[in-house]
Amino acid sequence: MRRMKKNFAALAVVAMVAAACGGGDDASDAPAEEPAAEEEAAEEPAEESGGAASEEDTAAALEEAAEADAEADAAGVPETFEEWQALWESERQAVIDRAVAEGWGLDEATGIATGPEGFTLDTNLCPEGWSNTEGLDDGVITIGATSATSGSLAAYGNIYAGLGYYFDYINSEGGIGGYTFEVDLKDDEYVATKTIEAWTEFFQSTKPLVGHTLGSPNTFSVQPEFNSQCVPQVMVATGHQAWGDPVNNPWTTGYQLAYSSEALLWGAWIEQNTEPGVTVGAIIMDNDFGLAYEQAFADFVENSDHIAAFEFVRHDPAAATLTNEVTTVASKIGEGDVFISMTAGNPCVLAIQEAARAGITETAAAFFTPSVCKAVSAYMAPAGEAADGWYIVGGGIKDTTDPKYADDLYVSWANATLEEMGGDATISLQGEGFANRGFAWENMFRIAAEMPGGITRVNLVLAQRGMAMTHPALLDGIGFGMNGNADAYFIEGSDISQFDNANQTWVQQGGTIDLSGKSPNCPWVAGEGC
Amino acid sequence: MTLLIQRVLDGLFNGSIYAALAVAIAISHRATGRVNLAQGEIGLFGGYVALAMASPAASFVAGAALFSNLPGHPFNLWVSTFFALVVAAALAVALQRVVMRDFGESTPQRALNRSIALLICVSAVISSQWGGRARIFGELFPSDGDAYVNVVGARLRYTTIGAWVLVLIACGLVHLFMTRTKAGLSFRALTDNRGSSVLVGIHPKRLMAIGWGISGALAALAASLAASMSLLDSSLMFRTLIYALAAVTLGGFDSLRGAVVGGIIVAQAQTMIPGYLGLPSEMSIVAALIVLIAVLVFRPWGLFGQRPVERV
Repeated sequence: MRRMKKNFAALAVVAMVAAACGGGDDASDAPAEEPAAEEEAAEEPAEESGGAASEEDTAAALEEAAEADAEADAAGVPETFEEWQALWESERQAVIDRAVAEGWGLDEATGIATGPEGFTLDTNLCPEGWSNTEGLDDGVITIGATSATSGSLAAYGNIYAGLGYYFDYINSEGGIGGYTFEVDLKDDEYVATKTIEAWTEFFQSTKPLVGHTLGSPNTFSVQPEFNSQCVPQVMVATGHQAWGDPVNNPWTTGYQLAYSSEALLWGAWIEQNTEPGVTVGAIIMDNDFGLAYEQAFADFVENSDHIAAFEFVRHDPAAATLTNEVTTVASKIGEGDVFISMTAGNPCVLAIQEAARAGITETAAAFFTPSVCKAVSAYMAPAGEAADGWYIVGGGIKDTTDPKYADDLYVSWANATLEEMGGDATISLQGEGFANRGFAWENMFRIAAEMPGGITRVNLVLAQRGMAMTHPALLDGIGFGMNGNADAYFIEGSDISQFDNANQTWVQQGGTIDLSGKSPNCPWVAGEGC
Repeated sequence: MTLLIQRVLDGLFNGSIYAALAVAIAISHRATGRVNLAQGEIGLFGGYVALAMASPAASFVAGAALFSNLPGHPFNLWVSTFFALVVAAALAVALQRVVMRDFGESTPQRALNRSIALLICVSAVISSQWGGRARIFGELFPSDGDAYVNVVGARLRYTTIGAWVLVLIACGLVHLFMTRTKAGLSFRALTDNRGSSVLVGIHPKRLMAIGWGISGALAALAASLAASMSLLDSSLMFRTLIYALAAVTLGGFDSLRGAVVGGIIVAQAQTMIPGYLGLPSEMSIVAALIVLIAVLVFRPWGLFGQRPVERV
């Protein structure tokens, strides 16, 4: 009997360990069809950093920015809202004129859509019964979206609240091209398997015109389905470099600064601002998102004569505390070294607090928080005094709750309009959704509406692939747009800023860094990289 | 060596939370003979009540507007937390009297199903009222970079010291209740020998409610301590429950002292095993499960529990 109990216990232990390692609802899973890929990727960093400009270009741009200032970047920016609107209209018209001149669009006879710089969409690969206008129902465009609205990344759900209010504003102004908009948001709790469930339901029943996802593992989990279903997966809310692949995944577009670019900028800044022989310590979220940072930075370190070592600890995305992980990293770095947090959501705050408690911020030469943790009200203010002095490669986006933008023409308009629509302008991520992403979505639809054929799935993709606008929610000097197969990333610029806790604001260090058009495409292969 | 000491000290804070929740589970188990899996969620409800009491009316925290009618709102976090213990106790008593009245008499399987259902219900209420977004709870003890005592180069944080002071005070009060009050003695008699206790006039249902009330307050203490060092969100106590179950199993369901010691051991396993074996942090919960399984195999009544004796 006792032997049976012991055997059972041993079996139960093995089962428990297997269950804990198996993933289940763990967001660290790689795309469902390649569960081993993430382990391989962790052991074999990518041979090249696709999705980011070269190290030489990055370092040069950083040096140039360090000698410039933000005011210089502001030269030539419109000074009234009417001037801004005239500028945007002319920029949209330029895209439309180019589309007409170059013959962008879907050739119904061949089923091939052509766009800028060799970009093509082959609708013959779409499933039988596919429709270019599915989701345009009785004058209403349905946008399907999944995001975490609960769990440790729940704050990002505010982006969709903001985006929803932006579409309410568009609807109140008469819509676009005869259509009004509805955003149908499902909570996937940042769990990739739930993203798959949600999108299975979307594709089978709601059938939105376009879709949107948040989170690297989540976007990876449904990207194949989007591309096989020929549904635009628009401006996904993740900076993974894999979204810059217009050849293999033409229906998917990214939006924000790629994590690989951000990692290179960390590396370049460290080389330019610290003593040789520095050790970099990091905590990294243990999933595709964190892996993107890890691989890019590890590649940089491998080629660097300045950085002596890269010591990191991965953490469970669902971890309630990061004490153990930060303690481990703190034991590996010392005076004059650098600490980088490569995480998202609630761990943004925890990492800042724990780094202070562990004494890292007293001894390190610099400490970085990632761009996804930039939101002042969501992640910096809650960290209290511990947030003071943190650096960020900020992604070039204006935080609408940052007091230094209180007099910014567009930000003040956006905040006022957000409040009018029922939103809360004190929530950074609502402002992000409204002012930043809302602008991009609106212009995508406006461009598509004026293209031959009007608003269709194909035209929405082409509108993105050829868009070139002056984005008012980006820092001056940072370009916004794509150019077919030649440029697959909307935003390739950034600021480097340091947080001033007393004034609850990011203080930009030097001018903006713009690497528009310099990031090579990233045909991502799980386990290998770009 | 400094790293080892630091890991031990880091583990002590989590140990205080697991100990508090483990004692809560042990007490409700003593009251009913069954494990209440909703214990963590009841405590979490208390945590959110504390947040609502400490938040301004315009803060979009559910309940803050209601409490704003009370003079002095928003309240100091300590006052709010104390009130939350009372609310959680009251909630636990209400749930026991209304929903789980015959929890102790039901079969183990029915009791398990009912406590899972209660867990889901309370969790759903929390999510619907306060949403899924994490909230800043506030600091019960100073936690900035200077708030520590140097122990051979490692940092014993004020938060750890403060948490253990609170937990030990709470356990001390529970001990005094159990040993110095008539109700407490009756409670012990009931849990030791239910049949005889009823015969001598002890009212089991009233004492069960008292047991659940104490458990609710301790669970709220655990939730408040956890939230003060992390963020308050709807999933905070679910993982904590797993560790606390491991702790109370290790210590013994009928031993409050064992629950405290079990909390310390489980927290140390959680810190040490991944750290020194180089395992991913996701494996920290496996450490607790291994402890749980090992105890069930080799000493199922726990380190401090009483070995069941069957008289024939």
